[in-house]
Amino acid sequence: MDAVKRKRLEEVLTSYGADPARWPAADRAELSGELGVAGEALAEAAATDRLLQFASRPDAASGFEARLMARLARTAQVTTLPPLRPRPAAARMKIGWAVLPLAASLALGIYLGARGVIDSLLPAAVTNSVAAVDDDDLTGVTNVTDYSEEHVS
Amino acid sequence: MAGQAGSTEVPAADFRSADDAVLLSAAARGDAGALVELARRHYQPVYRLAWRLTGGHADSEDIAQEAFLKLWQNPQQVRDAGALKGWLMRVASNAVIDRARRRPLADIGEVPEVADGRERPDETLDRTEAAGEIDRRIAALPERQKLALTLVHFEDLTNIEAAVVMEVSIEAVESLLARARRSLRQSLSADWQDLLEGLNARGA
Repeated sequence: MDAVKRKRLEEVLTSYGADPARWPAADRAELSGELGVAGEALAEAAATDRLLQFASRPDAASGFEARLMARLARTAQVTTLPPLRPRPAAARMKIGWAVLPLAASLALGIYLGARGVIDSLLPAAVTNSVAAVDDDDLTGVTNVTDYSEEHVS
Repeated sequence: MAGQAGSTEVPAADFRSADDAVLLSAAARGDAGALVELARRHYQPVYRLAWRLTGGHADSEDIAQEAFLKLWQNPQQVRDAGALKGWLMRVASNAVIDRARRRPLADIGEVPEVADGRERPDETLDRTEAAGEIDRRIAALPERQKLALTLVHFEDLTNIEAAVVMEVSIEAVESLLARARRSLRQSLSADWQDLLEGLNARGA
């Protein structure tokens, strides 16, 4: 048995005890045939197992199902859907502050547009066509006969 | 809120033949009978774990039931029925730790023994006394050592399952087991031979 195997055998005995049935499967396959060389480690593990064997193994008092059922009846289940929660105040504030620059830009645009300040910044093609449209009489009011004058005359 | 168990009556054997996955699905639909059947199958090891970790405290049943109530409240937490036992063990062990932090649990090591008024230095310990002595030494182990020993030695979880329950590596589980067994040997060293001879004399 090489040193690595011997060391692992001691570790297994120290952790899991002397009964190979309690060992991890891989260790059981590899080491259970080597117990004969374990010596003192095996004797200590077996003695500890012997003591642990006599520890109490209590059973729950009978009738636990009925007692559990009574508690279940008083306990609501929760759904898997996350509960509806109001948006946190911090998130609301974040959105509020994000809207402010947009509102300010809109207000400034309306103001500058009304004052004609931004016309000089726009391409001539845009400003001329707007002016041309301004000059057109889209209503046709100017071509209407002034009946009032005819009646007067 | 999806629903509540409507009756305190323990259901008949409708679910006896169903596997854990079916029972979990039924419990998720609000069937308390399915949950009680799961409890029939897994309650004892969860109770013993609580008993062992609390040192035999009367709260053990309450703690075990708490684990099943948590399962009832949200059965979707256990996605793989094969992981159910480990999940219940973890919930119960966490409940023990939480309770111990809130208010220390009086364990069996602190319960005064009833004195019989006789000196019996050379009488061998009987099996009940020996069991009580061993229980007290186990109860006195550090929390993690006690949990590892309980899961692997007393409840027969594999090292992999115990590592999942304890959320540590397999190497850490092995280390905790080795330290627990070594601590027990050392704490019992004075009484070691008496205990073993007593148990042997009783044919135990």
